[in-house]
Amino acid sequence: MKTGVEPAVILLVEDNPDHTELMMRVLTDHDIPNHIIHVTDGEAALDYLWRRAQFADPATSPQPHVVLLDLKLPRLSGLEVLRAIKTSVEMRHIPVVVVTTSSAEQDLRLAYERHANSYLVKPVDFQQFTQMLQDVGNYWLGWNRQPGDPLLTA
Amino acid sequence: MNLQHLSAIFWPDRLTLRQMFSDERQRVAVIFLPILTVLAITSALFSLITPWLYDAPMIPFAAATLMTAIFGGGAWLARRGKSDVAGWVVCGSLWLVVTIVALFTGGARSSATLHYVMVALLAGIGFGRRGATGAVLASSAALIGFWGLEVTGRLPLETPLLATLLAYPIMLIVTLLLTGIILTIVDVQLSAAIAATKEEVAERARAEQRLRLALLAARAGAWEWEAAARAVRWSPENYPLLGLNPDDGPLTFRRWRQLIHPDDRDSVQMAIDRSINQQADFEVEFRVILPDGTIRWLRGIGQPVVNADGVLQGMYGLQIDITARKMIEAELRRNELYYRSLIEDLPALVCRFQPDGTLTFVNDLYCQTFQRSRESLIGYNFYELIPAEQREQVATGIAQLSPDNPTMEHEHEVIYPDGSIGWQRWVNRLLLDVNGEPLEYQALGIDITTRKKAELERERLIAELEARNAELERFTYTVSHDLKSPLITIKGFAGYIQRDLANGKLDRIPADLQRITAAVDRMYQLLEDLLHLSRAGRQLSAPERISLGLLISEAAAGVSGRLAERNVYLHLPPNLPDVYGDRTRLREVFQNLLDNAAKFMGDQPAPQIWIEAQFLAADRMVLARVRDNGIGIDPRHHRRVFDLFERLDQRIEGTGLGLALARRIVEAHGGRIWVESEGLGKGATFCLTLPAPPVVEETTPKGGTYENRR
Repeated sequence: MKTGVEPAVILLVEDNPDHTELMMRVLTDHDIPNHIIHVTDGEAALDYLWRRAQFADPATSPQPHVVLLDLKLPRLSGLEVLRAIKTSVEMRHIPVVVVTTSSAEQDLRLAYERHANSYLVKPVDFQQFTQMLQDVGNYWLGWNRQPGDPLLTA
Repeated sequence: MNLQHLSAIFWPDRLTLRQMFSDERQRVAVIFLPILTVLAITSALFSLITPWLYDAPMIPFAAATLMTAIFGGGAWLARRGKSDVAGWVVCGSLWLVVTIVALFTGGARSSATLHYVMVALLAGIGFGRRGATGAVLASSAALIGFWGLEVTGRLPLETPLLATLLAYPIMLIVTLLLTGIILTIVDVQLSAAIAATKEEVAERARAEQRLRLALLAARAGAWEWEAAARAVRWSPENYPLLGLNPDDGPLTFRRWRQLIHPDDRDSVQMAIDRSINQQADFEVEFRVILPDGTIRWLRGIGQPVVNADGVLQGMYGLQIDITARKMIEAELRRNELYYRSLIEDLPALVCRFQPDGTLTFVNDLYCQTFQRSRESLIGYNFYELIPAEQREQVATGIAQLSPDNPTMEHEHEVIYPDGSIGWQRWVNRLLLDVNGEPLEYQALGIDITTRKKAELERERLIAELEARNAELERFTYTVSHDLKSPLITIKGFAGYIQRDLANGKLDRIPADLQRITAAVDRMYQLLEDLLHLSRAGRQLSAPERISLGLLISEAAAGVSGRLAERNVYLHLPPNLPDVYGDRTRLREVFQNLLDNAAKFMGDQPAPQIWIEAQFLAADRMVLARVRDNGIGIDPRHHRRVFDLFERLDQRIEGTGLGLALARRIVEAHGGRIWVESEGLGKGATFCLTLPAPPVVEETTPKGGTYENRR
């Protein structure tokens, strides 16, 4: 388990402010320290990852450990963001977890075709909702390992 | 005169003979010439031997020398074709010489009298029976005269002229030899003449055989009518032609007439009468009823024979079996009738045309369809009946027809006489002549306007249905998402409130409650909009003429709260054109556009909206523009803004249904809606077309702009 000094960076791409608030509450209370960067649309997400515009400074815009991606986004949809990440040699190693309200078969299929690392449907039930985000934190910030992870050797 | 020429005189070849025998004088000359030549030579020789034959050879010598001259002259005359003169000269002179010589050499008993035989022979050759008879009578008279003179003792005495004993036999021998030579020459010439005649007869028979074959091959029979004989002669070929047996009796004019079909007898008789009266060629077609009952068609042709005085001598001609031709003609007429009636009775347009489209034939329906006379259509170019933009396509299709690929079908539009555009389906065929060369085109067409319209309508309905289906799919998908989202929000914050209450943490409860309330409101608004959308575009009220200026004023009043909130200034020019449609729905459209423009003003310090409109005379539509100086829209999103639940900016309130609703209403009116914007920060212009009111007995405004009368 990570007990690292540096909090894990999470990029949260979510346009619904209420959902953002709910997700932030669960993740900030999480055992594993983390730093959440929140953007509300697909273009902003790509700008962050490629360090464009206001995200140009690497110090304030570290590469995320995981991307939590909603599908229904303004300007650039989640699926397009997913494709941009997974077709990029520099970015495709970053785990992308789709977190959406949609349980449509088509969305699921398209997401996995574009190499989503996981697909999660937001549960309506409060207990399940918080539990799922707890698990997301445990798994992607705790158990999951990825190349170049400095914590691996620690 | 060379040797060959000489031999030709005595032994002429057939060709020469045939030419010579065509002329009587020539014939006599041909026999005379060799005989007289021989006689001249013989006489000359005789004159030379007279001293040995006669004691006093003076008279015989003179006579022989004279005869040599006479015969030579005769031969000379004969060579010039004057055989008559030669005959008279030779026969007359010889007779005189013989008579005079005999008078002084013993009268009837003189050997000279033997020469009378020669005179008779020569006269016979030269003048035929009369000549021979004349010569014989003259010679006999001379001999009787000699007898009379001798009896009365007035005959000159036998003088020393008397011949030697040798003279008699020599004289006799010479005379016999000459007679033999003459007969030989005559025989030779006659044999040659007969051979030539035989040849001619054989040739004539062959010609006749050929003619007979020709008649047989032509299924024809020849006839000949001689006016003087009052009879018609029929060639044997007429018997099989008329189904008769030659053994049952000869064919006569009467019998022939009886065989003619009763309906045709008059016309045949008229043709005969006309030919005889006018001495004109005879020609008539008629039927004969054969003895076995079959009917045969014959064609009679004939030519009158008229003598030099213009009197009709007769007529000759042929009758030819033309039954086969008549059958083919009848068959052709029948086929023509079949196809003609087919073409006229078919419920289809039929035409024939040349490669450039010039019509050469049209049927009645074609004339009726285009309401033009046949005369005006023949020679007319059918491409004129096709809308200009489709002509090339039709021409290309027709140009592809070839003997290997002679038919093709196509469908195209046509201009009907009332100016309406219809659809026709045509089958074009390339017609070939007997040599397989392209002749012209034939085409068969039917009107398919109804079907085509139904097809187009069906396609439109299918497209609409597909669009609706896609929209419905998207709708259910989005609804499930957008309705689920507030639920998650409500459940989530309710859960936190519960937890906070249990923990006694009350500080964030009011904010969380506020979020729950807002989520419920959003759900309610979403449900409202959905209900609205489901009604929009489904049923429009009866269209009415609406002043666009008034309509937009009403819409602005409806969203005055939003406009006032953002301090938006609306530029609404006077004299906007009228539109035609459902007033309530169109007001909704402009409410949504104004609301949308006001919402996306961003941080614009002086937010403004401009309304512009113009009448598009070409398609009788009104183009309206709602222009703002707000945040604008990236060109990439211009199409998406009208999609259901599409929200480019989540910070801006709304359900994402407003523009979708506007598009639906505009399209239900037959118009279009689109957005123009140069990008973010450049403002946006929403454009839409709406139908203009129909023209109701009003003068079209000048300058093409539409004047609003209020």
